Amino acid sequence: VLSLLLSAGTPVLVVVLVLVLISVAAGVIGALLGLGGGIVLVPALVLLFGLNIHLAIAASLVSVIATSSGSASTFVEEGLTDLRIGMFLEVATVVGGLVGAVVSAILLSDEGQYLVLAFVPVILLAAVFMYRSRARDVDPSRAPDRVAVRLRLGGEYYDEQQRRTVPYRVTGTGIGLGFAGISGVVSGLLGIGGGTFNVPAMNAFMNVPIRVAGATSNFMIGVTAAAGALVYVYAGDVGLTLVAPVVLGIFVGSLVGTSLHRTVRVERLKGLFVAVLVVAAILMLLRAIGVLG
Amino acid sequence: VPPALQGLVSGVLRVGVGLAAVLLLVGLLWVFASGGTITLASTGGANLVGGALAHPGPSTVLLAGVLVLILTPVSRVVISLSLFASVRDLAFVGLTTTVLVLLAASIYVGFHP
Repeated sequence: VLSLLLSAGTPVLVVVLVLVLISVAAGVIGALLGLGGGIVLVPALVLLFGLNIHLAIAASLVSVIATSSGSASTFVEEGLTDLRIGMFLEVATVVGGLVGAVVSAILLSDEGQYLVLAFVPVILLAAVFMYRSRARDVDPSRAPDRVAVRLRLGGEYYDEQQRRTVPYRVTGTGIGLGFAGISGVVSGLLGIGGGTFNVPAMNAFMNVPIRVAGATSNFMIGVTAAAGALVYVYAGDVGLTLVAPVVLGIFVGSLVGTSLHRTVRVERLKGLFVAVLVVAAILMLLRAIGVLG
Repeated sequence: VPPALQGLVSGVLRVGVGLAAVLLLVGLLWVFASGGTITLASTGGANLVGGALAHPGPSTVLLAGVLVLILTPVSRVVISLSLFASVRDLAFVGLTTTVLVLLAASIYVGFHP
């Protein structure tokens, strides 16, 4: 229905308003669920707006930089972000982001249906992770691995809920780097943040507390997305007049979502959001195989 | 982590995002004011950058906003590198340098596919 809005006669203001509204919604949902807006935004732009997936991915990637940098500035200030772990894993996420963007923007520039298809498992995995999200408590007695010792990774953070300082020691740096690389590829390929994969991996394999993992992943996402976005700028997929309302909308949405997070009982909304993600995955599948539009 | 790093990184990210948001808003309002349209087609990178530079106008401001946004996380890597260098944390000087080289590579890859 909304694709009709893109017909030639539609006033610019209406198109922009719809874009802003979709982006605000994606930003709110992303911030509420800790998913990042991209995984909601790209399917919304493609399915509701009938937009070319390359343009949607590029716009999403640019907006990911805005949301992650915006919230990263707060997390860094609060000391929740582990800058050392972030800068260590960033090497892998940036390589991944670059590779993913080259594959998406250059190698698959005329094969958008594969990218639509690639969204299906990613959306479903995000739904599974969200539904079963269980933060693992860190084990302070675990011995750090060699790389962690060499790079002096690990530290402590103040947990507001437990009202105490929680120390943590880092292990599994190799597998952590591997997951960081994969999340980078997914980010560059599909224009999403990649925190969906990074955060659980840091928590489960590297012994990093979930809140530190979330803040640190968020910190890494900006530079990962920047590497990918530079490739999309060249490929010409960054539609300037599209990116502006999307970035502004998702940024406002993520601010609203973050403040709502303190008052809304996210647990009760989880089932609904999982359903939305599953429906989005099915529609993307139908679109990829040509049944839908 | 050098103590100065947290404050600087946080400040750079905030200023960068704020500046980009202002540029994008101004550019968008300028598009409205000049009766422009929303382009929803891929343009080719040379056209995107070249066009925005050749004809100063709303798209120049929008491009500046996008570039400021992309350079925001890049600049915090540069700041981190200089601070790690100042405390002679060589391992992290190496890591941050690698990230910068990779970012430079992404510009190179972009413009020389």
